[in-house]
Amino acid sequence: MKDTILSVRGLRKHFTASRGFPRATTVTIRAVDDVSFDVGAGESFGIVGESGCGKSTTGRAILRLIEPDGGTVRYRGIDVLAAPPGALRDLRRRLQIVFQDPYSSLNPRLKVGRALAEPMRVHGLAKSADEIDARVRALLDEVGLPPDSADRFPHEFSGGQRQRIGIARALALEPELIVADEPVSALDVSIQAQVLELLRRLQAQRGLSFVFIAHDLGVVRYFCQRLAVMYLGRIVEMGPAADLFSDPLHPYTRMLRDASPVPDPAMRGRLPRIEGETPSPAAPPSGCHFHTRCPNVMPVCRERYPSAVEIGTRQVSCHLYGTSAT
Amino acid sequence: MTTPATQRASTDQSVLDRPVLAIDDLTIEFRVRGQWHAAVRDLSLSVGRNETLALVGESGCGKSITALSVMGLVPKPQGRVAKGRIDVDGQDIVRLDEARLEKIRGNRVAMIFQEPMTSLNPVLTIGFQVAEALRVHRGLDAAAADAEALRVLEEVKIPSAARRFHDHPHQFSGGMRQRVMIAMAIACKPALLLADEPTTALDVTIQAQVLGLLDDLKTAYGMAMLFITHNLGVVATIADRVAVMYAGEVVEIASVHAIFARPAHPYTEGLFRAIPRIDRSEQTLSAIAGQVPSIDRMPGGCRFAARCPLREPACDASSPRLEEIAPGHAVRCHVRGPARRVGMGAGGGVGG
Repeated sequence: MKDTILSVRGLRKHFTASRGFPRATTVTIRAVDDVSFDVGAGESFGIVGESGCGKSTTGRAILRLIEPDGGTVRYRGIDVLAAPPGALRDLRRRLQIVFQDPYSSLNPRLKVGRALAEPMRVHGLAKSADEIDARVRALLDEVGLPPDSADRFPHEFSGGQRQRIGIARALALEPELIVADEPVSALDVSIQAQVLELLRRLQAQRGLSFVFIAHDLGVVRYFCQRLAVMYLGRIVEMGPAADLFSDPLHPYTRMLRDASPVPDPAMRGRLPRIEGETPSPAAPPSGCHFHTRCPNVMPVCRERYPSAVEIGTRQVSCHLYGTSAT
Repeated sequence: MTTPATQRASTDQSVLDRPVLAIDDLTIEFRVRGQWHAAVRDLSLSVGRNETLALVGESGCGKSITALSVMGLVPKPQGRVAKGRIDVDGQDIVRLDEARLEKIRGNRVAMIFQEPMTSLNPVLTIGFQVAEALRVHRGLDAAAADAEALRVLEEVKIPSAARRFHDHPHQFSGGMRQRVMIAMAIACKPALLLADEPTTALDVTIQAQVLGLLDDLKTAYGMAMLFITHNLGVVATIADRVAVMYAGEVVEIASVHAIFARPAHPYTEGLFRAIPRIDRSEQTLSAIAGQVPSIDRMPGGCRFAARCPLREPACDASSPRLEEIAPGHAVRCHVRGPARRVGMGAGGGVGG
């Protein structure tokens, strides 16, 4: 890996919720529990997992869009979580986010040109109105939208075009790292490919780093060099994307891979018979959270959460690989 | 299962061989600013017993409205079936009145949808909702309907179904709700199941479970299944035959093996090249440029021409027809159609 620019250690975010009637009880949801990873300069780091695994919360906690409860996030040596307002403002410029749903993440009453100009004005990136105008046009061109888009409203665009606007907005501040939270999952396949190509091109041209959050393993495989697999708030396996898919170490990674349908009828019949569903993150199973669905479950799995073990380029949290394995 | 009517068969045999669903030359139109525009045009397809036909295409290609039309649910007055037949068990749905349709819906033909929470009634128990179809269509009394509903819920593998019989939809997870909806659909043992993106809202591990369940049920009941999806991985997993739709037309139809091995239509090829795959390293995606034309601005010739890498003058001049290029494999394309395939069509003898 190249020089680390983002370093996350022991990130934690617990939500509390009151549930039940007539007597509400307070439950704690450990959305993100002790998550650590590094992202290198110019690297795409993927986070995958099923709904409720904490991948989006992780993405937002890094940017302090949700304040984390614990852990540290360092960006180029700067402590993001302890940054005073002035420094945080500068960090916000360098760290941007692209959301999943381009429909709800754009202000319907702002013309696209204004939506793109606003952050430039707030951060004082451009002085005159002409300069802002020129930059907006350059941005639209860069993401493949016609120049007259600036004078139109978000509802006049298709889903794929709106996602391009969302990307242009993230780029408006010349960021260095972008958290992309399911940026293509709301799009049709042919449009999805267009947006993925655009993101790759931007990455190459601008040297951007990405934290790329997705549930579609194919998309992550295409876009990311390294990735982390999350299950119920924790990273269960992390390593280079190619190795992770060709030889998954953690039983959950294997289950995810085998359950992802491959567009090739010759591979049919491999559909795994999976038992059980993801337990509620409000009441994760004892020990290893995955033991209720794991085909390799051992007695120790019900008692202790496995500690992370380094195996080659990979890191895996599973008793099969620990010293405690039989 | 495009069965040419074999003469020797007895009448019973010909009923068995007859496709459960046969759509012929169907055109569905919607009114946009006072003008009728075709959302589905000249669509013909058939699904046989114990067969899964996947209807594939992107948003707005007309695949969902095709399924709704089989249920007699084209929204009126803004929509209409302008022409064509939809035969279910040999009976033309298009010409049935509402009372007759209600006898078929949820009985011989059932449908499951993408989002189970919006398709289940939140204030009724799941047991009641599954039993309802049995009371209405089978005329069972409450106790018998409940007993049968419980059996169906167990068949779709709802854990401890008896204990959860009186639970409401919000008490179930997404995957379990989808199972409840499948139970409602199959309660009356339909001949035809229409599945509209039934796994799109589910996580992959749950999707694998639901796909396995649907495939088991299809085999157990010998159902015909029309499976609508945009996910080509799902298609490869579950379909026997595949129909690809683009802008309201079937552009290619073939067996699942043929279409993945030898896609003929440039749109089908483009779709395959646009999917990122987990079993490939360092792949280059190629996106299909442009976007689907809107319903009131359909081009005169081939509807895919504007995005097509093989575009020729003939493509803008006339609409290609869906023609066979191999047994059971048909394509709607001037360039890849049978006229060129036979070899001597080098001069481009199609139209001009």
